[in-house]
Amino acid sequence: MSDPVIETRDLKKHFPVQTGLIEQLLTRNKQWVKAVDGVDLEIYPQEIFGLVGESGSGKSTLGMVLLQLLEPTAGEVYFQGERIDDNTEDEMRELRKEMQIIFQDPASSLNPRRRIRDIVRRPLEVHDLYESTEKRNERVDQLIQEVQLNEDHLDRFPHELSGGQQQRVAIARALSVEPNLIVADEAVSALDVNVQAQILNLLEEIKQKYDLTILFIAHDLSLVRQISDRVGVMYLGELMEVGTDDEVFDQYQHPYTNALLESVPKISDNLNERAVIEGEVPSPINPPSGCKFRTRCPLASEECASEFEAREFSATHSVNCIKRSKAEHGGSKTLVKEYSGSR
Amino acid sequence: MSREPTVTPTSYTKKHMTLLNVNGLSTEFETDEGTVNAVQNVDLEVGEGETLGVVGESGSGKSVTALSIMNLVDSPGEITDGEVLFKGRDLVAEDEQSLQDIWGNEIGMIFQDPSNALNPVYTVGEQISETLRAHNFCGEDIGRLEQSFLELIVPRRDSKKRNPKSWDRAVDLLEATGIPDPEERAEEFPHQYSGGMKQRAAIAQAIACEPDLVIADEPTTALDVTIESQILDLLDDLQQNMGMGMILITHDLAVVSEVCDRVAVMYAGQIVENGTRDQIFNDPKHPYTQSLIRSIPEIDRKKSIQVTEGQVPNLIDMPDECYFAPRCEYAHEACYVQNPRMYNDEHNDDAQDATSHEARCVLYDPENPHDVPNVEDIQPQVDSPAPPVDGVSEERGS
Repeated sequence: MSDPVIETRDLKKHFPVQTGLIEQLLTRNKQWVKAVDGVDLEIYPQEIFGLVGESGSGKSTLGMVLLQLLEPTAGEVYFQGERIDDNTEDEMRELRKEMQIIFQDPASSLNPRRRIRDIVRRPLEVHDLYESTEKRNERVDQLIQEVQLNEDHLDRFPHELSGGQQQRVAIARALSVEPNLIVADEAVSALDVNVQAQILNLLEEIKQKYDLTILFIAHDLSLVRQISDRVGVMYLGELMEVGTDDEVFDQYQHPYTNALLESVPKISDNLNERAVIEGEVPSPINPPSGCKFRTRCPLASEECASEFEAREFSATHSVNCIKRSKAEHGGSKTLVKEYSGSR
Repeated sequence: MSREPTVTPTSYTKKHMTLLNVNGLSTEFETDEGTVNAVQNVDLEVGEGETLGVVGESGSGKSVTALSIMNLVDSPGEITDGEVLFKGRDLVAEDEQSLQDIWGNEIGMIFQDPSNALNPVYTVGEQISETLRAHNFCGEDIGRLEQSFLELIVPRRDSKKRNPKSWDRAVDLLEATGIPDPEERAEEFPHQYSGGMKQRAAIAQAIACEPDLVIADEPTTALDVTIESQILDLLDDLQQNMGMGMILITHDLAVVSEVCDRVAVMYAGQIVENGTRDQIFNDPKHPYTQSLIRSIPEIDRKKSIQVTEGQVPNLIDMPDECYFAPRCEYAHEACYVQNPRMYNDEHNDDAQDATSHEARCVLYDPENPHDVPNVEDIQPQVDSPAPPVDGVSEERGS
């Protein structure tokens, strides 16, 4: 396999919990929200890596730390082989030509007072690409067609466009500097199914055309299945399972992946036939020791409270569960049987 | 190729008496740009203990339909036509005083965002017991002082002491909706609850007075999948136990397929297709319903999602034609002549069906026959669910 576009080693991002003055004076130990807690991740060129998890699992924080929009608490981030987590602001500004982000809500990520043309042209100006405004405008015309809008849209304001069209503008803006990596943070979650499908198809198309690498963050598993080459399942700041899309969706080993897949409403399913996991995600301030999923896991036993290493099932498939070892469970779909009594 | 049914066929028989009957309901909004016909000539029927799913994209008029049924539409909106017969009473014609007796008492409502549905300055128990007292459910009511202009200075935080019956019932309701430690939790404020628990509390409030009908407007859209399945289970259980009728409004067809008995599909303020769950999912008639089902990404396999280009039209000054025609692959001249009426499904020879399957599409006009779109063409991807799911259901069945 070629070298990863972006790589993290034991990446952590902890946020301090804000407390009152008196409490700060009285207690010594500060509390931390462990949003990202030890993530090793590699994303390879020209792949779409899907990152799924419930809200509060740290998906978005991870995306922000990868782009150095947030400073990591510990750990290392490598972009195209070079360490970037100790870069200065100026060095990062140069690098941002190579990495772009698309946010969930296009309405709030586009400046409401600028016309679409100015919004899409802005990155070209910031990074001083193309010599003249005319050349930049030509590039904007070309971009707007690539995202299947037409030139009439360029002179409008964001509020005159629909949600799907706004998201297309956000994609055009991200594409304008011809980046290598795009982080799409819940980029289609706010849209209707039909529009979602349109935007997904567009992402696939531009990925081919620009040889892009995309980190696709979403909470909707079926969307991730459609678009991803590899998938990571995140829970309370840790990656529970990483593998190709078939490995995660068909040969999954982690009980949490199983639980997530079971919970997705399906047309060919009946409500009364599915396993529902109890409880909610514990607070990331004092997460459970050992396996973080053990408080909700139907397979949990005492050994889950101890520390353990993620297990490799294949070159691409790694599972963070002490109950799973390749010798016993490698490559089969036996997991579900143990799981059936949990309702 | 014979097509496997997507949902398990269950013989639908109309089990109960009609609870809610909506006839020709229309709601308009006056705006500077013109009149928005948010709801046009909507007919719906909900039986006792039955769940009706209303699906559609955003802007299709689902939520305004729900508000119109409750007669909760505010200016600049106005119900211009139609009637809403709830247990024989026309809610559109009732005055505010009698509607007050119905809202929250005989019809409960659950909203999408539980953080907005709960009052942040009162404890959860207080809010639920207030609902109970407002309808004198436990023999306790809201005192004269509280109702008067003095309401702002009357302390309302001691319901536990002053109205123990309502308080106890509030605690029971929280327990019934699956909130752990309900006695302590009732004394907490909404911000101390997680999103899923807030929705449980909102449900507890909606069902507090044992309503006959619950209208749930996107009740799980703001929640994670694992919590969503818990809440859907809860709603299903409560409905079975209490025998409520329910209208579930959602954009998610998969949710509808799991909990609803009957389904109405809305597009541009109109109902375009109406049938039982089996009819809609195994034999969708209207091209719009077909396109909706096609555009759902599936988890069991990778498929290329087929897309219907275009968007829901702006509802101002709609032309007199089929509203879906500009996006419809079967559109022809007849579609642009006038807005089609609902056509009955004549090809349906299933005698067990107590209700008809209707679609607002000229393709089904018996006087002017057309080639009906082939269902196999639109759903080539259907096969049985992935093995893991099967494994579970088999074991559960035994």
